[in-house]
Amino acid sequence: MTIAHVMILALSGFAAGMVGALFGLGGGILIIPILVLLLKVPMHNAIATSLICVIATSSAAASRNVSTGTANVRLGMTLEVCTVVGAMLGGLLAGILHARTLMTLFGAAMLLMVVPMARGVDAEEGTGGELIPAGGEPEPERGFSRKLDGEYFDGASGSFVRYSVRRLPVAFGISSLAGVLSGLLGVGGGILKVPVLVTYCGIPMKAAAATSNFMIGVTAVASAFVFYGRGDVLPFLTGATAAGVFLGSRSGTSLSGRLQSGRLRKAFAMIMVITAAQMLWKAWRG
Amino acid sequence: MERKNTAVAYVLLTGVIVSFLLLAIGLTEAVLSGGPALVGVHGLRAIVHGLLRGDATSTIDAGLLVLMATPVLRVGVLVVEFIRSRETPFALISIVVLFLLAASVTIGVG
Repeated sequence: MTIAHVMILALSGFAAGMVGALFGLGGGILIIPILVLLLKVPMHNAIATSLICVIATSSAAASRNVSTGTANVRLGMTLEVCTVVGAMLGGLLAGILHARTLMTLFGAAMLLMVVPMARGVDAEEGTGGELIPAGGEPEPERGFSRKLDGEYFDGASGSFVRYSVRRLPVAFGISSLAGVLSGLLGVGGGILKVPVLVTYCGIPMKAAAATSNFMIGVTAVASAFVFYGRGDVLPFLTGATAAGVFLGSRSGTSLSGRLQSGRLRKAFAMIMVITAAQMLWKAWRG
Repeated sequence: MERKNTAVAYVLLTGVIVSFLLLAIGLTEAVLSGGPALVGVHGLRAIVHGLLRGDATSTIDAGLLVLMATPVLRVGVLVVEFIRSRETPFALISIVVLFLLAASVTIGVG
């Protein structure tokens, strides 16, 4: 192993971590194409590496979001039952699928994620859902879902935001699907969960993004152990990439307030389309 | 801030810092020794033995295992905190998640 190998992998991880943090992604959607298309890493090893990197970015960001109370810990734990079961199934399924099938699925999933990506899943673009202002009365008895209601301090408005969680079965359904995708393709799945939690479950964007981020570490680890057991986690490859992701995600977080713009987001969506096409092309050609 | 949030944030931050340090040390060792570390060291006992010998691959593997253990530990902390605050439904949910993760660890590490 030379310092050049470490630098190439760490820089790849750094780029994926930084761009992921800039656009509110776990980073998996970027790491896999970099590893497979540029560094010629086999698909199963790339997915395993990506899952470990998702754990790294999630844990680092979740420690902040939990401290500030933006992540809804009770809701996150409840939905994790679905994401973890989904991720374990996805991880086991990935073991029996051919690399070309996984590449095709990844390319297709990437194309599907372009629309929510272009529209934005970060906390800066509106709150979505139904907000209950601080001091307002909560809804009457709604059974278990009432225990999941949350409250956080919104720095932008300088006030507390209280919200109720609605349509819990929808949240369970999308969490299960996100879990399967995570285990199968090595992505966090937040880009799938967050818009649904906002649009259908009445959770404000900031809380939805933070809660999703809180969950994806546990989701990823459920399938990461499955990949680890199969020997798909290569320590040098994964270690160097994860170290780069740590540093990249921290840089991206500090840059996000200054650089984020709709035009940048749309440019990145275009890059995602091109990358997805390359993944599909590689899968087709073998 | 709720006590459970403080505990969870502390566990996550500590896990991230410890794993990053182990990865950085292991990668530095690997670069300095120039040896390939393409195949992992499997089994906790082998990793601990390798760590004691200063083996680069074992150090990187330990960093990866600490990283993977961090979310599991976070769920464990929430089990304790929900029991302490007598939130029975969430304590039970956390125990179910912990059980599922234990099954995943059993499949993976054995």
